[in-house]
Parts: sequence; structure tokens; C-alpha cells
Amino acid sequence: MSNAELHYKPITEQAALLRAGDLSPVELTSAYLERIAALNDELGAYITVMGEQAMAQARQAESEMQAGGDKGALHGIPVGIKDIIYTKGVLTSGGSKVLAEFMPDEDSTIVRRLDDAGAVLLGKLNLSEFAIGGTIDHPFGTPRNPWNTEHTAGGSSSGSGIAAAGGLCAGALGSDTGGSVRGPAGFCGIVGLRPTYGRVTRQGVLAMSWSLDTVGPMTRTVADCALMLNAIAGRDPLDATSSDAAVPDYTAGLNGGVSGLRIGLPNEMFDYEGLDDDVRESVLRAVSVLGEHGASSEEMSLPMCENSGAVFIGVADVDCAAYHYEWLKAQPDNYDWSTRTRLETATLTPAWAYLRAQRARELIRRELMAALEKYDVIILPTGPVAAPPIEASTGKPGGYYQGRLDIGRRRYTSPAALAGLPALSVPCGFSDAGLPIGMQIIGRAFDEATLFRVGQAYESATEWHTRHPAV
Amino acid sequence: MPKITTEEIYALALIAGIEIGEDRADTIAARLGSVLDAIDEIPSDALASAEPAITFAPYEAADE
Repeated sequence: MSNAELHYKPITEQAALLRAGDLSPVELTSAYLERIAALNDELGAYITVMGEQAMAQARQAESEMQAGGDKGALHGIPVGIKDIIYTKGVLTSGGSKVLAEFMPDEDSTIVRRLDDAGAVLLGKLNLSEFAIGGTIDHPFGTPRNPWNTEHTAGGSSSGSGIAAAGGLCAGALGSDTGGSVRGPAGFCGIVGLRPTYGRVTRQGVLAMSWSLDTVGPMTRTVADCALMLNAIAGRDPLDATSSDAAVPDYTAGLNGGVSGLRIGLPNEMFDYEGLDDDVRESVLRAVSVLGEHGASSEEMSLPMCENSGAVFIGVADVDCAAYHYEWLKAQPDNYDWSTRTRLETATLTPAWAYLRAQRARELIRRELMAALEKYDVIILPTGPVAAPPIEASTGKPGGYYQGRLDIGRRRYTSPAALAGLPALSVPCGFSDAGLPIGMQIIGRAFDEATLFRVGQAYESATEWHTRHPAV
Repeated sequence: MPKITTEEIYALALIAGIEIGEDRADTIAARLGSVLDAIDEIPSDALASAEPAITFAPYEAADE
């Protein structure tokens, strides 16, 4: 089997080949390392490639499998993780010069769980500085969208989106505070999950906002996303905010279909003046496909969610500024201009605004919880536009992360984050410029299984997931 | 809300213990103004029933 056939295969198919003995973890890992060596300079996906360690893990997995061992569906599967997740003795930079030499003494719980599942860790993936978004100068290379390298891959889990979409790993982990998994997933044409807050441990993960941060999988198929969540979900005594809610097998109900499913379509998201027509049309077509398979949908209203962009900035940026306060005072010149400007702005935000945002957040949560009593899921675009050019996507004045534009576009990914709810982005078409478009599915707390079921039903009825960038 | 001036930004920065350079003061003033305006525009009557979601505990059970 050629490498070209291997690197875009879903994890489910790779795992089947490994189990059948038609492929070895060493062959699979070698194929990915070769592809990373060939493409990483162009795409800027990885900050650190853990080649030797990955090959050692692959050889260990191979020995275990040859001896009849089976650690599950990720056994021998090569994955990448965002470079805010602690790895013992391996650079964990946060995508910043501030931590350019930081090597943690311990692995994060997530890395230990991946190791327990037998996964092979290919390396640490590039990101917007400290997962904040809007970075102008990435110190470890500019992340580039594999569908068009002049366009952004989105942020902040840029490298995770690039690596999964470009076939530089079998699956990746990103983090999502206000859309940092879903945004890059939408821009790169892959599946990305923001899990329920507390579903996945945050231990050993650099923080942006303590009450909003989540870690989630980014993959080429819905089933792969479910497999990766299986491996990392569950209570962690080292993270007080992790939940002890039971962890189901997220692959069990994937093919349950959407017959009888009730979908809410919020007017505030489909009527927004900043929403591109091709995005609106693609998402509504996707809803029609679900309708053809038995789901029903109707327009509804989430008026408080119109404020969610401002509320997110009011909460998350201030939390983030507090987290960075000492570093910002000690080494301000080591921050990117955009990151520094955003953190300084948040440092100056008055308490009345922070608390007003926190009060509005409670109302947004109530609004979504009430809506999800009537509807099984809420569907909306992952973002209002397809990936913009890199030059226009930064925190420069006039850029994607500046002022009113930043607040306006955030209404798409902020509501689920502020309410602590799970949300899944699945590819649902391409823009007129040939860039991917994402459909976002928001569900009830700890009901990721329904999101996967809806995503799988759509994926099974369409072919977007079979298209790959020509890199 | 009234437009925030760079002089006000410098004064706030002094209190906050950070140093803001001239190359960013205008941008920070504009961004802070945008954020505060947007938060101020949230309807007050709606907020009357809400306390801050400062402590955000995870949901305790999936079937809650």
C-alpha cells in the first residue's frame, strides 16, 4: 500500500488494517513522519516533531499487537497534539517565545491517556500564541491552510486542523475556549468537537480561561472523532472541574440515524449581516439532507446569543489577562504584537464590564438550555465566512480579530462555549473560492453521542469528507 | 459611551502596572471602546434576573 493511500485513511480503516496484520504501526508512523518531513515547512503544522519517540512507541505497539495485545482502536495510531498540552521533557511552547524553552517535568493526563490507549505521539502542533487567536508573527512558522496556503487555517488550533486535513497525522487534539477547535475544523474541512465543559480533563494544559477551556479531537471523520473522545474523556482527580458523569462508548450509537430528530435553526445566526451567502446556503442544504433522513427543523430565536461575542471577550480575555499578568510584566516583548495588544486591552477592562459579561453569560446559558428542551440539537454555521487570507486574518487593525468584526463573528462559536455545551463542526461544502465550510451542531450537556449521530448521518449521506487538499 | 482616549489608556495602564507603548495605544483604546460599548449594549432589564456566572461547576450528571 502506498503512503498516499495511507495518510488520508480514517483511523477506523487504519485500525482495521493494523488488526488484520496488513499494516504495522511502524509502517504507518514512518509514512506520517515522511509526509511531515516533506510538507511541514510549507504548512507550518508542527512545532516539534517527536520522530525518535514516535518510532519507539510504534515499535512497542507493534510488539504488543504481535503478542496479541489490544489496547483499543487507537493502538498503534499516530496522532498529534496542540502545543499547549504538557509533554514530559518535550518543548511545550504555547506557540510563544515566552515559553520557547519550557519542557514540563510531567506529562498531562491527556498524554497519559493517549499512551494508555496505545496511540503514537507524532509531535506538538502549531497554534495561535497561547491559544488566543489573531497572532501576526508565529515564532515557529506561519500555519497555512492546506486547501490554499495563502489562507489561514483558523485559530487557535491551527496546526491541529492543518495536520488532520493535510494527512500529517491520523487525528489530532486541539483546545476550544471560544471556538478554537471548531473554527480551524471548519476552515480546514474536517470534523472537530468541543466537548461539554468538564468532559475532558484540563490538567497539564496551558490555560486561556479556566471556566471555558476544553480539549477536543479534530479528525477526518465523525467516527474517528468519537474514537478519540473515547480515549480522553472521563473524570480526572487532578482536575477539580472534570466531571464524573459516566463515559459511554461514543461509537456505539453512531449509525442510529436522525429519524425524529428536532433541529432548531437560530435566526440570529442565519440572518447576521456578516454571514456570507455561500456559507448560509451550504449549511441550509446540509439541514435539508438531514430532513431527507427523517429530521425536522424550524427557525427559532436566541436573542441573548447575539451578545455572545462581546460576552466572550468580556469574560475570556480578562481571565486570560489575569493568567498572563506576571509574564506580561516580565517579558512583554516576547509576545506577538497582536497577543500583547489584546492582553493589555483585557488588563484594562473594568470590573463592571467583566461582571456584566458574567451576568449575560448566565442568561445565554439559560437561553440555550431552554432551547435544548424543545430541540435535540441546534444547527448553525461554524463561522460566518470561509477561511480569509492570512494577511486579513490577524489581530492587526482591520483584521479578523479586531474590534467590531471580532465581536460579530464570535456569535457563532461563543454561545456553546459560554454555556459549557458540546458542539461539533462537520464539513458541509465549499465556498465559491474553493475553501471548506463547516456546519456546527450544538447539543445538550454530556450528549456528545447525539452530536456524533447527527454528524455521522450527514457524513454518510454526503461526500465532503472524502475530499482532501492537493498537498 | 464616550470615546476612550490614549491618555486614559496610559493612566489605566499605570494603575494596572503595565507599560503600553505608543505603537499600541490607539489600537487598545479602540478595541477597549468596542468591547465596553458592546457589553454596555446588553439590555439591562434582561440582566436584572442574572447573577454572575463566576463559579462554573461542571454538570454533575449526564441525565440531569
